[in-house]
Amino acid sequence: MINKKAAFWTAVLTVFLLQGMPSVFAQDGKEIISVKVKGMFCPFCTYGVEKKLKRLKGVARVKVSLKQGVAKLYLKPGATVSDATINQAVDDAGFTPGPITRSATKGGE
Amino acid sequence: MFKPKPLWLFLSVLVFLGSRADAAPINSDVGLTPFKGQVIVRTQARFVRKADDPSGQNRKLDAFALPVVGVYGITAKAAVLVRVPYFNKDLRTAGGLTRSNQGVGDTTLLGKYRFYTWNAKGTTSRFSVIGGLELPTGDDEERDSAGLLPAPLQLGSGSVDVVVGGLYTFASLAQEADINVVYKFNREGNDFTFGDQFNYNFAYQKRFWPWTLPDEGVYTQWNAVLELNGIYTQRNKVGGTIVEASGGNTLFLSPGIQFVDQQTIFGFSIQLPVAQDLNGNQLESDYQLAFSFQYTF
Repeated sequence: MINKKAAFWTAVLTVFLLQGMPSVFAQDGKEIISVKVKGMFCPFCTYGVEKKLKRLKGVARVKVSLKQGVAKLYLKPGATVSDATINQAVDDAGFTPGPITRSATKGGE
Repeated sequence: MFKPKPLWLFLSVLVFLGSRADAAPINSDVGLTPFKGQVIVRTQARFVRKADDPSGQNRKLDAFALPVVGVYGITAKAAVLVRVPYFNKDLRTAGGLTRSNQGVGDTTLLGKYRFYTWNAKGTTSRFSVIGGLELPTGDDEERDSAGLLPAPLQLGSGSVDVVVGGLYTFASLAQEADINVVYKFNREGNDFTFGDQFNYNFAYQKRFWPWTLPDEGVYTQWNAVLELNGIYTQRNKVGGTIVEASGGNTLFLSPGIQFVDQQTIFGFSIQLPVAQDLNGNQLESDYQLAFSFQYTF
């Protein structure tokens, strides 16, 4: 016979785990690409960088930091974008691409 | 009898407006070009008053211009620009008669190519050239009750004119400096030839808000703008005869303020003449006001 108290805590634990699982699964396989963008100097010119990078296949969203001179690409799960493609997009926006770094998604990002 | 003297300078100023293609000063152009595929629409409401009449004839000019400019980036280095102006001009002549004209003026088609670029973190240095034509799309045979309006009061020149120029920009996160020169070769239309004009401009912009940049993200900003806008024009010709009271040099000091975000730029500037060396008894500039708006899609 199942202990009611144990069943209750098992249910609580299960709900807790299930709530946490989707975000873990959703983040699994996502990549963040950070590219240095040389030449950005004002808000108006960042628009082109954002627009060109957002249009790349597999990119979910783009975040530009003007002061840092960096654009971050948040990719869709399982997606990948080559360095050459990113460099071309930055070049089409009228700027000079710098080093590209890649990392996995972290919680909260 | 009315003498066609005073409006050439007004037209000279307006012709130069609108070839800009990016964040920029308010009254002059930059070495920057739009990104590939970028569409920018820009307009500028400009009010000109010239009431300082050294001849003592109490002449006065009030003029309003609204040029609308479309810019398209063919590549990140090459762009095309189309400019269509609307004019409203009121001139009080020496005899006390007011002669007016309003409507669409000549259309300007320009190409711009950036052939030098140096980029670093938060900094850029660029040099571009422009070239194009001003086409005689504005009416150049308008009349009023006193007869055919003089050429400077017409909406169009009646001629195909050639524009060439060089533009340099150095910009960083905190400030921007621009230098540019533009020359316009004016040709004959309806037996009248405006003198060639040479525009020379220096502009400096300083971001004052936010004073300190946020570490992350993109912000909106306010710039203080100070420009020196110079216009040198050769004398006009009527039927091959030089009009002595035409042409000369005017230098404006143009303080202004500008708001910039990712897709929009607003600007306001007042142009005050600090030097006017005009040939003959021409109306001299009192001031000019400019309200500019720019949006990118």
